[in-house]
Amino acid sequence: MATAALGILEVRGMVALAAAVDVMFKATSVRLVGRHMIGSGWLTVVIEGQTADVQVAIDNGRQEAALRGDVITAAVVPRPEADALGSMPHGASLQAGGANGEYEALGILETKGVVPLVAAADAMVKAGDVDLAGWTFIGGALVHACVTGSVGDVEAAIAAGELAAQRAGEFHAALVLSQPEMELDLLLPPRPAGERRATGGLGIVETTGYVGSVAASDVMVKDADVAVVGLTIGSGGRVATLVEGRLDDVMAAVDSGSARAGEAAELNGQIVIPRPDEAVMAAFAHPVASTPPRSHADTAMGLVETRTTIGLVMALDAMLKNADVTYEGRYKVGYFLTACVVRGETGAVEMALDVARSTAGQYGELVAAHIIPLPYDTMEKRLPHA
Amino acid sequence: MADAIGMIEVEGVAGIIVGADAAAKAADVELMGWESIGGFTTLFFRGGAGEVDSALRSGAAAAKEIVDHVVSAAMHQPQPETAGFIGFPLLAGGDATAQDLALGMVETRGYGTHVVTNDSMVKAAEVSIANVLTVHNRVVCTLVTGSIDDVEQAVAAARESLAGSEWFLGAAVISHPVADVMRAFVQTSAGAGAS
Repeated sequence: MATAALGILEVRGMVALAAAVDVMFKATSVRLVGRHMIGSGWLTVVIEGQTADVQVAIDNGRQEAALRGDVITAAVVPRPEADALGSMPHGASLQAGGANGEYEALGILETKGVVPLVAAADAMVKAGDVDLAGWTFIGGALVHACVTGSVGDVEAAIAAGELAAQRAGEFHAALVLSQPEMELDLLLPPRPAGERRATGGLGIVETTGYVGSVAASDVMVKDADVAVVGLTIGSGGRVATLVEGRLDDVMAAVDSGSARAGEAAELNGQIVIPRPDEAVMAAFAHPVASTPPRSHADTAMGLVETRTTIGLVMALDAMLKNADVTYEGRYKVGYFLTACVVRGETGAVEMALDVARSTAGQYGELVAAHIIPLPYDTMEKRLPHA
Repeated sequence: MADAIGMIEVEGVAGIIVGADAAAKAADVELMGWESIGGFTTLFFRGGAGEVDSALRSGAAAAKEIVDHVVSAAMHQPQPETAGFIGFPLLAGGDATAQDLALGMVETRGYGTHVVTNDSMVKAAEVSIANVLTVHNRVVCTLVTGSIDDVEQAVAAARESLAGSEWFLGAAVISHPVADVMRAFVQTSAGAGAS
């Protein structure tokens, strides 16, 4: 049977999308056929059904989303050329996320930045008997976490989470859905893959760009007895470094790490969570994949980050031609940020960074040029650049 | 061995598609591929220094016709490591043969509008949706192929459907695109994700 109509709703933010999808599927007999995410928090869902149903669903969804965020596009396409549109990326297979469908209520809490999100997640699981079902980022530094449980527990959790997020950083939106529509499971983040474990403290330093987070990691493991347990992209150019250890060590590490990140690049936020819930460790502290050992003992690391590929490529070319350094790898944070790493003796790396500073700026923005004289192996092997 | 690399960087992706075709037609250069850093994309090509300089001028000028932010540079005697920045490389063995078809591009912010305009394009003319590239920072570019008349007609329909939209960024048609441009931007799975 030919598809009678397609409906398209594009909004900014996961809370706005979830609220809209819930009313769209409650009121009408329509089918979810696709989703797509394009960065900056812009999320699209595509539905199909009879024209009148699709129209009602899109109207209801648009109204609901507008109450909670920005609506970018709400449209109905009657008699679509379904075969021709079949190759568009929203048609890629829909997979259920971390929630398992066997719950009474779903809570979604959305923040700008990983620091307020982890603070909220810890407060949520401590405030109510809820399951932390997962978290993810959707661009523009918007991140969200989901909890499931009874209506009362989820409401208590979301209330506590909202307060904690506001104290720790920027709160964006929150939502509690009782008896949510099953289609929502297809839009939720994957289940936490990490290990549940207790620890004295969890520290987070969040920066814009890779260089700030590497600089923070270096000083944190040098100044205190902590382990790096995550280096997480938060979208919108954000990278968060997570460390754990005894509470006083974590506090000392976060103090030095946030100060160093602010000198090397842009610091977005920092927090220490004493005795984090085991579910929070499982969700956020999944270890960074170890990279093979690098044979650069006793050499300095030079890091350059720009908002232009041409500027970075020209800077690397000039560094390799004018200083005795070798290329070690690159890392893309996204949202215009791209970085590369060189190695050599301290003097050579300093010379290379001077060359990079004068070259990169001719083609775009230089974000950071930073030297780490003697990086610790424990930190280095967790860095994702290659 | 090529002794120079040319690079063109733009916001979105339509600008480097147009730039790649113009560069490959203006001089004897080989497309190496392109990179996206979430908002900006960069085209890489190589050849003799004189050829690269001349391709760069034509490519950048063509890109500027459809997008404001265009940066270009030539790197002479490049260090081999710099080639590692090409996120979506083309396999060696360049092919600058002109194809007997046309390539149309429609670029906007937002994805939802593309479902609507792509439907209007395939209804307006005999074109196929060849790819939908997401380059982050909300920029999405649909590529359609067909005969030159059909592609012109389809892109006109898309322009009409997007008239007055605050999210419309640009549209362009390339007649007889070179084979490497099709390999680089149509036969690729680049795109999708948050940034």
